[in-house]
Amino acid sequence: MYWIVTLQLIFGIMFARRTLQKLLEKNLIDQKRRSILGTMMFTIFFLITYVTRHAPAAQMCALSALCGGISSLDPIFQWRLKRRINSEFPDFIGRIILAMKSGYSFRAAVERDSISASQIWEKWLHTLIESRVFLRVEHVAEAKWWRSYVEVLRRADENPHHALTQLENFRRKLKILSEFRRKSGQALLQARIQLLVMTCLYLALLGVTMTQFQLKRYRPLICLSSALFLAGQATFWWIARKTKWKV
Amino acid sequence: MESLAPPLEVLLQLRLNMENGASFRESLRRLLRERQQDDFVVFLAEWVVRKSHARPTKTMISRLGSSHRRALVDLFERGWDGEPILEPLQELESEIRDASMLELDQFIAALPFRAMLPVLLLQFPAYLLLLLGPLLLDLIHSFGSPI
Repeated sequence: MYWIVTLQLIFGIMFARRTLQKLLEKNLIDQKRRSILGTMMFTIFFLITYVTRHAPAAQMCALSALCGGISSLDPIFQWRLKRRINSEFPDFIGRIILAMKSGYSFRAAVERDSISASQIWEKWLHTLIESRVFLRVEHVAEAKWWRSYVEVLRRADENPHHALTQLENFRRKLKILSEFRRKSGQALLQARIQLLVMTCLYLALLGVTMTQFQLKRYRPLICLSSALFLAGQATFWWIARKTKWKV
Repeated sequence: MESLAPPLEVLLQLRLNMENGASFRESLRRLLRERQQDDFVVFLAEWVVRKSHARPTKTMISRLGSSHRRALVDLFERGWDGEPILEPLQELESEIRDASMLELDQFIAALPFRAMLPVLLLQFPAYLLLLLGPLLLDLIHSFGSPI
């Protein structure tokens, strides 16, 4: 059993190192964050191995769960990046328009903006603009959310005479979109807070009931109550996220 | 309601394409290629097929439930026949935008009341079952047991 755990530990650390390297190559994290995450993972791996040293089965489960968690880092960072870029893109377009109005061409305005890029998302954005828009590198699995941005920037690059008008039109569309998102975000935030409060209250009550009364005797009652509660949560979330427009 | 209303999204994209120099037909075709499928886009795709084959479209337009969608497709009819529609499109945009905003406001205002339904019908009984269920069951058992 122990040699399996040792192998799992070695491969786990190698897997973590490889995942972090990939994230760094994709510009999803910087060198500093990579060191912090690497140290954290290394520490957690050894803590798990030490704490569960007398229970090899639990040790295997914990190490497998940790590897699962590490493999989900890529989608999590991608999601964060997408959110950040979606919220920052109108400002980015605004800066490009400003530079173009002060006499720069589209390319020069983008390049000028890339000089002051310090954050990861800015570097990621400029790398992608450089490859997809300026160098025309085609990517088959281009993310859907990013495709519309690439299209607009490419058209602006192809038609320098209309670039400013095109970017202004696109900015107007993004403004309307963000106005709607902000409003519907209020409703969703309210729903999320209510869901969280209800869940916390229910879990606390469930804890009290399970400690005060015998769980085995009241199992059907607890199951029925949990089913009702979950059905309520699902219905509530469905109502809050309703997407059917009448207009 | 995380995305825009379908007619507003179609209108904005179409206007963007037309202001960038594309013709109405080209803009519409590009839009149908690029946009994800929702009921309005499916309707527009069918409308384009009918128009391309010179088949009547009046009945299918009259089946549209929303007056804003009907107005937009009526405008598209004129655009298909070669009339310039960019200016009316800009005017229609503010109308559809206001109507969408109003619908969103109504949705947000009605949300607390709608949210009360699952709370009262499902979650409140769930809390009651946890709080009073064991006590009531014990009480019933004590009535049933011999003294």
